[in-house]
Amino acid sequence: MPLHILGPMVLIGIISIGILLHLLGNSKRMVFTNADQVIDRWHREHPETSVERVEISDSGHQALVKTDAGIGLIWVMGFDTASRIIALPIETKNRQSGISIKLNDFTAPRIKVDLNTEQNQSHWIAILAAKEPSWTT
Amino acid sequence: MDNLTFPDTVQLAVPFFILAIVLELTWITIKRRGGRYETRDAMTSVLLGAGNVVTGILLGFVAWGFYNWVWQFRFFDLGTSIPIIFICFLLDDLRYYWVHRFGHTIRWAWASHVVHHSSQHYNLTTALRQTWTGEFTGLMIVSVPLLLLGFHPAMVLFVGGINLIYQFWIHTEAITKMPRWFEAVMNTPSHHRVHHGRNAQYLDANYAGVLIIWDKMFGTFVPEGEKVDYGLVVNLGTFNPIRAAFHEWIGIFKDITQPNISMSDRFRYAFAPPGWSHDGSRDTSRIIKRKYVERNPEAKGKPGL
Repeated sequence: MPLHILGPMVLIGIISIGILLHLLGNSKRMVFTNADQVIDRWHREHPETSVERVEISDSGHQALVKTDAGIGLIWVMGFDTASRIIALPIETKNRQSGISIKLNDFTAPRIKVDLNTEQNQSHWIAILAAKEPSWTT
Repeated sequence: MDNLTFPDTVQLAVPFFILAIVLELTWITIKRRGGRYETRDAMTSVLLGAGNVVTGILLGFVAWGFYNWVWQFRFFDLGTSIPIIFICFLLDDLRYYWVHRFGHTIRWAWASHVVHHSSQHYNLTTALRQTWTGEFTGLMIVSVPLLLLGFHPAMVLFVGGINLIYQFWIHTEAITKMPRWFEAVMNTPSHHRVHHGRNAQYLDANYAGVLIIWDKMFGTFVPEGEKVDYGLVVNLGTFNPIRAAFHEWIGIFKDITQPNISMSDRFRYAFAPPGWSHDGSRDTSRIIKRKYVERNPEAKGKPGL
């Protein structure tokens, strides 16, 4: 097929599918509403660990978990999730409406966490800096 | 016959792919079953598919040049009759089985193929989520026996294209099971859902392209049982197609260049099964299966475990 036909056809096809998907409501994201939901999703990728504590971000799109294998970060990917065990202390940065966490991961170099209040931001930063006793012992 | 040409079937199938995706999406939306779509996931898949076509155009000369170089050493010239094309298709499907199996069991090849498994969804767009780096794996070498036997390079590429087009329709949850005779011989949505599962019992199973008989012959067939959990053992944290396309290559580079490991370990980081590590900090499929059975002893002996 000539490129001058194939190229526009692919481009129009991709854009049309994207618009159609969005209009049909397929751009919604999962929201963590309770700890059990987070634990269930966490165990999907880390079945051998046992979860002791859960901290959900204000948007419900990210959560920290304390497990017997260390601290874990789980975040929403559309209808699904991705998660990593992270080594503390870990680098964080303040954002306008939360913090961002720097991971040593090419597919997730920086995870933005939505935290609405300074108190919540300070709490997460303390956990991630390994300065929150209930999360480090 | 050296100037023989066949149509580029994959490019010709592009309009059909787009139409079929729209039909599947419509079906799922109306029936509220048979799969699920997520906008960014689907966009990542189709962009990776478009990128695959682009890299095919840009780098296709590598395989084509290699095939033609091998062709000059052929033992026979089998011609282009219909029966020969059919035999070529069957043998190429066997070739596909082994290329695909190597793609899952050798990290160097997995670095390319992992892209196809990186969606947590399973729909027709997943079929288009294809590698940009296939030419780097060197697995074109598996086609050498076909070329030496006397199947023309253009024919080998043609039947390979037909094989890929066949595999498009099996990336769906909208079809539960095909008739029993069909399931016995052909690769189907049910068989291929298993292949895309990250469940312990489904890892490294059902490598077939068109005929499922190869898996049954070589002991890698696992029937669909428990609900399939799609994606990777460690799922990607991005919808960025560029990160998805190159992440495992970056991982290999980081692993083989780390300090204080032996040359043998560096070699294994590139060519051992995915999940191998010098300090045992990661799990291969075999270890994941073993640990699963330790946690679920009642599952011991089930297919795939």
